[in-house]
Amino acid sequence: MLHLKNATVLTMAEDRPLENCDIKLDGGKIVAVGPRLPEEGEILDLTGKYVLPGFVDAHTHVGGIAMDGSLGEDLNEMSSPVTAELSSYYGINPNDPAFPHLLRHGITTNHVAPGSANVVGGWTVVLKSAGKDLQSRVLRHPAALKAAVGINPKGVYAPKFQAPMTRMSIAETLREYLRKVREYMEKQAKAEGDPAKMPPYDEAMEHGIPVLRKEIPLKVHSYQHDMLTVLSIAEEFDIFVTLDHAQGATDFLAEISGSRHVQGVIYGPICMGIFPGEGCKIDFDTLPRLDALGVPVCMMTDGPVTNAQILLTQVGEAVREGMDPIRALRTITVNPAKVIGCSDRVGSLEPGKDADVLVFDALPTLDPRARLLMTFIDGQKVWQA
Amino acid sequence: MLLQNAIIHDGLGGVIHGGLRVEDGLVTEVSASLHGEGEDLHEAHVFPGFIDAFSVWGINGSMTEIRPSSEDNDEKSDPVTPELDVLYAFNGRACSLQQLPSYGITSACVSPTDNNVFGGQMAVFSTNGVNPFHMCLRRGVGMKASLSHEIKDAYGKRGLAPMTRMKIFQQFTSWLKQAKEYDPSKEGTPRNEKLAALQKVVDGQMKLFITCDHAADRQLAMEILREYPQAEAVFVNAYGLAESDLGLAGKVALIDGYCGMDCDPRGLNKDYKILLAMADAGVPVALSSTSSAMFGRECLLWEAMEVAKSEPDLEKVLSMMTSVPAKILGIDDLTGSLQPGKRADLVIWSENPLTSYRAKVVKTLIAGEIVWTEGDTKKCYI
Repeated sequence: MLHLKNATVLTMAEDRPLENCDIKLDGGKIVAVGPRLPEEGEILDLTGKYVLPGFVDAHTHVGGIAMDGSLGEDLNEMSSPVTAELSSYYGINPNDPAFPHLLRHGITTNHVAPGSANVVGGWTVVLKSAGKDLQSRVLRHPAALKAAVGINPKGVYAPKFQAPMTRMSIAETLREYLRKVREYMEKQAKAEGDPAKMPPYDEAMEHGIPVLRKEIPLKVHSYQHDMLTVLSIAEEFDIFVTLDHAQGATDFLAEISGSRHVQGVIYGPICMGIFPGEGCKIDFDTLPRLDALGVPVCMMTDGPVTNAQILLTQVGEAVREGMDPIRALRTITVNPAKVIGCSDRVGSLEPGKDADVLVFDALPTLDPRARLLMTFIDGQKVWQA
Repeated sequence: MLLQNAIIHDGLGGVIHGGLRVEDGLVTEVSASLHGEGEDLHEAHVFPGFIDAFSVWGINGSMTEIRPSSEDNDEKSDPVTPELDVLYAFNGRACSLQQLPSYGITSACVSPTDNNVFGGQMAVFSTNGVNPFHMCLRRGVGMKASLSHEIKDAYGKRGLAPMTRMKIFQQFTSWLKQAKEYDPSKEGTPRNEKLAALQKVVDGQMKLFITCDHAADRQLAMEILREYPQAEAVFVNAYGLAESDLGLAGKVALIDGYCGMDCDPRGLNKDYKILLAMADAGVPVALSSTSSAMFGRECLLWEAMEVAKSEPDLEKVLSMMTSVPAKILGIDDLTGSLQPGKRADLVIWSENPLTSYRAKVVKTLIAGEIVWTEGDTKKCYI
């Protein structure tokens, strides 16, 4: 039992901070949250400190793109534009130095996706930044099916004169894949359990079934008008999607907030000048504006492409654009937890949830000087300043 | 123009509650007792315009041209191009488009890349305008050199020298040596623009800005530069800061850039305690928006915020993006501090941006002209 005493606690289950609040961690879980809990176990006095849930990064490639370059890249299988049969679960090196690095910046849960080289990249997986082994660190697999529209698939296949060379062809490639999954499911249904009538087992088709059943979303790398392509396809096949990166979303606020298919908008990373092409608009005001329209908004690092500290800094920029600092904290806690289907485990500090806890010396979404002092995952202290 | 009831940070460490007068593009008066018919800033914070000490703003190339091409500051035909001048690469609109004043940046040093052992001459530009020759505050502010592994990627991968660090250092050393001995007045000595340019470095007329991968590179560079007591070195990028860097005090300056990529291991876990110990020991430390490929207009402030996590004296952090870069770049007679006679390059923030993410830029002035006002539209490239 670890008893964190007398902190300002942002449970994120409530909209306001709880002053002079205690939290008890036991068996890897949060067991109690409240003022003046009876003292037991190891006591840690956190007077004047802020306690937050561990951050959830809704879009990363950590562990699959070797941080030190030694093992290369394992999340972009550029041999075919549709590789739905793959899963990032098998592309992750759980011992990549990226993971301990994340702990210094408070990221405790990662939604690791295949890269965006392919129109359909494969299944995603959600895992903790620390733990015994890969298997025990996984929270959800699959959490989504990764897809990409726009310059990345174009950039891979156009130089080879292979489809898809254009956005026309990318849209058609994605639609054709979803049509095939639908047909596969229809054949399976018609077979009524008779193995002789079942279609031949096809892993790529199998991986699309939970998407068409609306059990997981299609997680789509999409910027600018490509987001409208995604909304149109989501409507056509009646599936859930997340719009990932989403730069330029401020041009389409009504379309995005009006769609029944958008499970969330996962924004970022912003670490570039203004250049031609799909990332040409830098609009941090997307977050307060979509939030006000009721869209679950999340911030991402896209790590290790951009650095881990950028997660919090970008949230600060959303605050600069008018978002309330505690509301903005939702974009890296409860919102991503919900969007990736893990809110039963992470994203808020409530009894029964995983003991993924951060201790700061100030409110980090308001004060740029705030320093992370401790990171706990499953009740274990995994980093200390 | 008279700005009053402001918290004025002069960029040199001083802070007053008072007013500031701007006339003909210059700051003419800064005083606690300045009153009159002016604009009441309601205790907003006025800072000298931020200076991005090392950047590639205004450079066009493969991403912005209609044909496959090279970035205009990246002459990879020859690893030794000290005769080149970045002034001819700078596109005023390409820089202005980035709206650097929306984050308070009013001038930027623009440099050749890290891909050449000697890349060429750097220049400082105002961040607003169209005509590069008008925007240029000063050309030839430094000679860009590099000892970093980018050179191996640029040449070695094509089967050309330098392929190794040995060859990089050999070229660095031998060109400096030739430049020292170069005497065009001597009968029979052919004119050599490369050596003429490098001679300014060995004579101490032009500072040498050296990009390094780690602390050992900096030690080796200092060992080589001992032969050239007049040369002044500025190290670019605070990669791999180590205890040995404390020994650089009194000899060099340092430009620390924002590290945007975790997959570039050189930028990981930067030791800000060493950076600040170097500053305390007298190393002029300036900040920049970039140390590698990824950066934006936000990143200079972001780096200052990272430094501020470890440095309680916020005026010192502020000086790292105002008066210190001005001094390193030799433009401190023009800008970098709010003193009578300096250009009215300044930014008004609603709060101190190092203490609150709620801080917004109210106005930015370049040479007295308002170039950004809160609520202005943020542009999109397309």
